[in-house]
Amino acid sequence: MHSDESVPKGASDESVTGKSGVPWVDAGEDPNQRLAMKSSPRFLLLGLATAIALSVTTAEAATKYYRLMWKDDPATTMVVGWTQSGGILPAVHYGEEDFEEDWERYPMQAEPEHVTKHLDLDHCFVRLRGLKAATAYFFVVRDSEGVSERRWFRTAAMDDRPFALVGGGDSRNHREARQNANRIVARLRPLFVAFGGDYTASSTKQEWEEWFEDWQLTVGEDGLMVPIVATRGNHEKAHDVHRLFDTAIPEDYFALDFAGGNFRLYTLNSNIPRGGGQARWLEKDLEQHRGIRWKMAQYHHPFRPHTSGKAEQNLQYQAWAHLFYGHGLNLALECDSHTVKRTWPVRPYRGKGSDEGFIRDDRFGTVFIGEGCWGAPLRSKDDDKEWTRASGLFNQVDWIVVKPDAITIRTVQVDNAQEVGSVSDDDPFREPEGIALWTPDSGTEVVLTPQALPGSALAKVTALEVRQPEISIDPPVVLGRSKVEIRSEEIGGEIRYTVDGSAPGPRSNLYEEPFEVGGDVTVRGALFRNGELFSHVVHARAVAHPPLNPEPPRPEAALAEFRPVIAEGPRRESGRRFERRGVRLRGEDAGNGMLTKAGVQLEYALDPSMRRFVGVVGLPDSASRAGKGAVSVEVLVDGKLFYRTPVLSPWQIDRINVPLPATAKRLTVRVKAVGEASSHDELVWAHSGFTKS
Amino acid sequence: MAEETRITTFSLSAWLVRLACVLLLAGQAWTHLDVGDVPLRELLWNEEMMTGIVHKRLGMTWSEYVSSPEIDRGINRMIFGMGVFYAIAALFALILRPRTVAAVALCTATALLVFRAWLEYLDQARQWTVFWEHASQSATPLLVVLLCILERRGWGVQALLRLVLAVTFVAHGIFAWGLSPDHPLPWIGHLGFDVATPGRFVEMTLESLDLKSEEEALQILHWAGLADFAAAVLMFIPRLWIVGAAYMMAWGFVTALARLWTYFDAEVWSETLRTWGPEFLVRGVHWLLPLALLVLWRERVRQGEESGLLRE
Repeated sequence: MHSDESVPKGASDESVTGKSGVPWVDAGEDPNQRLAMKSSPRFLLLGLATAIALSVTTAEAATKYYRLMWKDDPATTMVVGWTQSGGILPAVHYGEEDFEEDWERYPMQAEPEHVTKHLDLDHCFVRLRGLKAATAYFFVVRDSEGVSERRWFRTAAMDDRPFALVGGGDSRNHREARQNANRIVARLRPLFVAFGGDYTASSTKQEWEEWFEDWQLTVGEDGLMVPIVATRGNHEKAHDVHRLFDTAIPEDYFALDFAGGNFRLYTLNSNIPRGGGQARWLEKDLEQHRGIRWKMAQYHHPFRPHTSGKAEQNLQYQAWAHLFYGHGLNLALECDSHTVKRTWPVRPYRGKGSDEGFIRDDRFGTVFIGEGCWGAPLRSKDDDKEWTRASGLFNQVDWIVVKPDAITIRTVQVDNAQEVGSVSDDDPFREPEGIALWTPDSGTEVVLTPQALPGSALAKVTALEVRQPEISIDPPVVLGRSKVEIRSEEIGGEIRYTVDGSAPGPRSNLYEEPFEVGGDVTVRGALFRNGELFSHVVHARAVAHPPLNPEPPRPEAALAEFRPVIAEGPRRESGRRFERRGVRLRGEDAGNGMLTKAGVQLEYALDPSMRRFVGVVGLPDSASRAGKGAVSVEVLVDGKLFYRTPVLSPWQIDRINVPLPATAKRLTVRVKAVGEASSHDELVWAHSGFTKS
Repeated sequence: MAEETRITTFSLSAWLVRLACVLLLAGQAWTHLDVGDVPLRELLWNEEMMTGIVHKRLGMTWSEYVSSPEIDRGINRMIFGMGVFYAIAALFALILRPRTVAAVALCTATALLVFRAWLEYLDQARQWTVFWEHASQSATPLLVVLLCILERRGWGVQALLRLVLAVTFVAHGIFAWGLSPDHPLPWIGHLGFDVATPGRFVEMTLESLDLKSEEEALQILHWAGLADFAAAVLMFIPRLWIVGAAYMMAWGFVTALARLWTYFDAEVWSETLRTWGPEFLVRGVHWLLPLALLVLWRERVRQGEESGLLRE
């Protein structure tokens, strides 16, 4: 993982590497209080202060509120952050060997690259780079006042060895529960904490000081610090999280790789436009990392809250849900509602069987967990969905163990944190003594297995369960042009097609909208996801219409306007006029025409001005769509057969253009059923009647 | 004849304010009774403010209090009760009878709306601009009392109308313009404000205008913010205030409609309507009040012409 991948392009990052180790202050600073380092009188006293500092090795450094973060590769970097409450010239002294508080023996040191003045506090951030993967680093902070306690951290591995993380969020307004959740972190000793936002109620200085104070409870008894991957919630102001946690960009959306690139964590910001630049970055990044085994997202607002007093996030659904599914996101951590939920794997779908825009899909769906009880007042869980696996109401965090073959999620009830033992570093995923796990009826653990990556053997098998695309050609008997439409109820992926009968591939024509074809054509189409075949190849065939007579002139007197002198038929139908809007012939309005049943024979009296009998005939579209019905028509003049149409099958038409002798007295038309009788044996007489020339 | 005209024309402006009030209170009732997404918990769950009361009055520890499903249900019931009150107040705004009861109900509604604005302030990281943004909404029931019950239609009421509209638009303008240290104009950072343009503003602009980037949306919002400030200032300048009010009417309508326009989803129309329908209704104030102000002015001009005492 590299920063140019994990950080959205075009997003602003004002972070600048400090020069000569002199801290600088970002936009939120008070220039007069730059740790009192650049003001000239103090600068003059620098040597003296340093000398004093050097002599003070047992006093405490004027530092507090320690936290660790990542801006870049978790295997090789670490951001050490704290709040400076006095003193000058802070620096981190660190190394792989533990020298306790003997700062001089640590082989490396780094000074703050970034200092923010926020909420009237000075926040220092030392950005360590070039660290070894999966390695313990011990550190102290030393300033002019003294030396801090020794703490230590672990970098992430560069291979896919298992690791654990703790996920959760919403730690406002219930400090006791927050402290317990923090204690649980110290007991579980995960690689990091994914925190979903709403740290404090009103984002005041006092509240944040309390929060940071409580955060120190996440530090293990042996000084192990757990990094936090911070998400912005709606109770944070726009710049709080960036200034307090030195996140990768001010917009607070970014991605980090773990397990040697086999697990990618997306931190999204649901408090800025979910679409726009954020969605474009997310789509691009997901596409670039489509081969990654595990993908997880954390963000504040749930798509579908499990408490009824919270609004549905439809715009977020539109912006992200399809991206999650289309790119195989395994797990999403949501917050905000102060309740507890787990879902079955679901995907966005609004058809039959869905609930609030999602449907269960055990193969390719995303599991959603949350919704934020890290120390927040609890809200009723009164809005379960069809796809809710379990819901509850208690203070909790999610303990997530990531292994190459499975992700296991356990929900820890934190109220008894002080009675819980600590996990062993030898067996870090075994439940520690006294831990209270949530045990709903659907099971204590949620186990995710890797989704079938598109193109894998599993994907090919499961493709049978995918809703197959459908191709329709209307009309399938092509006279001129026919419209081809390909539909897919699957969300995500794209439809590719061919019109030459060959199998479609990932570079075949991309179906975007209905198109037209002419003549004999076989259209083949299939769904592709991430460039891999994701459904069966389906096809539809269009056949060219048999050659037709030339188009006859339009009648000057419509047949439907004449009353037959003799009408015979099974229901004595006399060639009733049909409703213009009700019957169509090949998708077109049939004009002032008629609809007759097979078996009908109609006889009309002619007058000398009538010179031709013309018309276009065929089965009504309703019969053609049903694929049923076959008729033929005979035209007789004074009892003598003048014209007989070919058999008119679905979608076939014929054009009639019969010259009438000047002496002709009677015209008879007969509609005959062909083959097995059917209720669809009907005939539309479109634009039919008589001309006078 | 002149007296008849006065009554008729004055009724129109008063009716517009009443309409705004009915929509506002109906919208509030809808929110409270249906979705219930109301920040009452920002106060009731505020550990700093409520711990003492919880200990003394309820005899509970804070932990018991915030973990109690019964308390949560109780809060929901309170929200529902407030919704019922808003519904009744909306009815009184509509019928204005009996006058005394209606006046009391509407004054209480104003008090409740001020309280609501304060809750929003608590909810939005204690940004005072959030509170002041609600000035027009909070004042509307009171304006109905003044205009329709007490029939005070003089310059004082006009001044109050202008004031609350100006305050609302200044607050709105601060959000739109973004008075934060990160503002592109460096001197903004020295003003001491830290109010960034809310993400939802950007999102609405981005989605409703189908823009390509957040930067474009922010540019539009910055100009809109400036226009809001200008309109607010114009409200206190003779004659030019008409321009300000006309802008407020147009922009108020657009921003109200933007909620529905941006978030409405035909496929889940009932759900989106439940959330954004009330948002549209309560913002009727933002364009109906400027319209009422213009009508009121027109009526007074007409009255002045007829009485020969044109004042403005």
